[in-house]
Amino acid sequence: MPDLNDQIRSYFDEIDPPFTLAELMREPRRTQHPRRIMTARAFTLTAGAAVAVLMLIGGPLLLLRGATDVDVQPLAPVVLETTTAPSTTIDPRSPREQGVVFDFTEHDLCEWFAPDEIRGFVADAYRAEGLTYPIPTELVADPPEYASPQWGCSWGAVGAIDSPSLVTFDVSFSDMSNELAEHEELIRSHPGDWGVNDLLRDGIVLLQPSDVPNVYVADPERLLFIGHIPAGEPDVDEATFDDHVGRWLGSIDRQRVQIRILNAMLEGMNWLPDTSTGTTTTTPADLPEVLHEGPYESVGYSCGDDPTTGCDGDLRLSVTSLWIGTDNPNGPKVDFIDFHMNVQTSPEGFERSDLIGDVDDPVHAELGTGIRVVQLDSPPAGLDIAGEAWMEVTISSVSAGEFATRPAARPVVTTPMTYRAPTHLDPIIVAAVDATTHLIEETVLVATTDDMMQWIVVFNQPGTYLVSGGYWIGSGAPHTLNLSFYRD
Amino acid sequence: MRSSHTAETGAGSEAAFTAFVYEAQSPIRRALVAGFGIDVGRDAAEEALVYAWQHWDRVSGMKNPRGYVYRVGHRMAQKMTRKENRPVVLPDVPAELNPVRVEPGLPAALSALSKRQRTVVVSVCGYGLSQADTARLLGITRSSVQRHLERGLTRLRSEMGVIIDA
Repeated sequence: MPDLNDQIRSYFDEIDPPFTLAELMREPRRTQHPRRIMTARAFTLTAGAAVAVLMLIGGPLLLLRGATDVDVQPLAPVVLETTTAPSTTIDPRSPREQGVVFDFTEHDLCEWFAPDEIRGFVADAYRAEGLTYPIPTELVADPPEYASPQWGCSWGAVGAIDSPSLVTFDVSFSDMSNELAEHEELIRSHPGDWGVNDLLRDGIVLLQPSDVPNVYVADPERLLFIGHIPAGEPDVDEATFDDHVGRWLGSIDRQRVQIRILNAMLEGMNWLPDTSTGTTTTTPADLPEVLHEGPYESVGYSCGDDPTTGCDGDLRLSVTSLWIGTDNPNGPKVDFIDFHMNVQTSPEGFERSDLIGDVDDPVHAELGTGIRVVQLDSPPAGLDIAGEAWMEVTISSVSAGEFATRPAARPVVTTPMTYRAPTHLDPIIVAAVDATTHLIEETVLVATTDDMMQWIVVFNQPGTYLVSGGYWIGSGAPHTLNLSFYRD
Repeated sequence: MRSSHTAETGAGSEAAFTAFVYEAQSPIRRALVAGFGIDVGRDAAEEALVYAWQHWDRVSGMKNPRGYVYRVGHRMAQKMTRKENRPVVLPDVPAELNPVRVEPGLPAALSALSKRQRTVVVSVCGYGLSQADTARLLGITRSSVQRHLERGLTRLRSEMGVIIDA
């Protein structure tokens, strides 16, 4: 029997033959689903400037809304030439506190957003993120063939997918229960193995408070949001919608959002947003005493003279793998870094957990797209850690020669990562979990420069932590991962 | 709706589109078929490529036209299936592929994967895209591709009772 790859290839070659050019160079099929505007149901949704825009656009349209079926002009892809100035002030009050009442239906939403407004949101998002890429000029709405009252409508801004960070996102107003179901299934089946950015990159930050069906907020900080009003469930409670969604939009805190979402994932999505507490942001100057500090060089962790012995006391740590990947292993270009490690803060035993990246893994061995540069699985004897442990994650650029010729050498920063802005950090997520309990206190971005980024993960109790993350570089110089440990 | 691109374009655009189709249609089509099944996936891929032809002047200037067209196709497929919420069922192994070449349980095993797992597995293993190219096509991170691939293959092998590949 051929190997699995050959079987899959043969199977799809047989059932999925290519199209001919004649099939493709034609007019699109016409829709069978003319969109209609329906009677509004009351919802309250607003927060800050984003909602102000909604109101400005939506108000007049509400007046025009009729109760009968109305065919409307389909939304066509638009190339935009101008940029809407971003809104920078967010009203922390909930919409109800602001006295805002706003009625809409998903179908109105399709009409509220003209391309310029969509692009304004994009501009907001990019500026809020400190992105330096050109703001996408390409927007694609639902192909008119598929716009319908049943399906809602959506806009997508297709960014530069080759860029290392924000690539695409949707502004969508429709029932996406299928997507939610899939995400939920994945999250629940792998509760500790999802980074927030997986979800962000997949388009949506999923929030599903137990009493608000199908409410999604897409990256609240960017003021891109999705209010899903599922067909067949028209009676979403206004106040609930207002309180939860509105509060989210009105009290944006990126770190807290990420932490809460991470916790929510670990709790199986059974979570309600809590805006009662703020986020403690730690700066490098506030770090406690440094217990161990050293680079995870190309052969691994070093907190003493001997990089293979790890730390003498306090913590057990094992970097199970650090992959620096490229499609051209012999070249200096690095496309990604994935790291996986175990951190144990109690003295009982040590459990290695290899997720991916093992050279013995036939999946990756046969693909040959990764270069394992770290493999430590013999942690030193450890001691219990009584207080909080801090792990600092730093990624810095190093010279290609350090990796190629001096695998054990301490990396030297030589190549600034000039393409990264301070908040331009989506590609990496540090998640610390154990098998059954979420133990992470918070993950805080502490510093960035042009050539370095740092996160701190706070472990709030002893336990065995699996820390994993990924860093999508896209293009640029080689990088290395530097880990430091602190304790109160 | 725009007027037909065909009437406006010259031989150069047609040649460029032909080259694009030659290079990009298989990964786009296969990813959509893997994700949404043979009927919806092919319909969406076809319509997305037609859309690309209709807007070729613009699409051809994009940094990642393949990813863009996939995204258009993905939207179309989502719309087609949004209200159905049915599991993807792939057709049986055609008779032309005797059991020696393809395990009869392959379609069912693939169908058991999540949409994203199936898409990644088919793109990487079935079509030979690199993980980086798959990431660009799908608009996700390479590490996500890697995770989906690993989980998908693990589950696929489990479903098929495969312990060690030949």
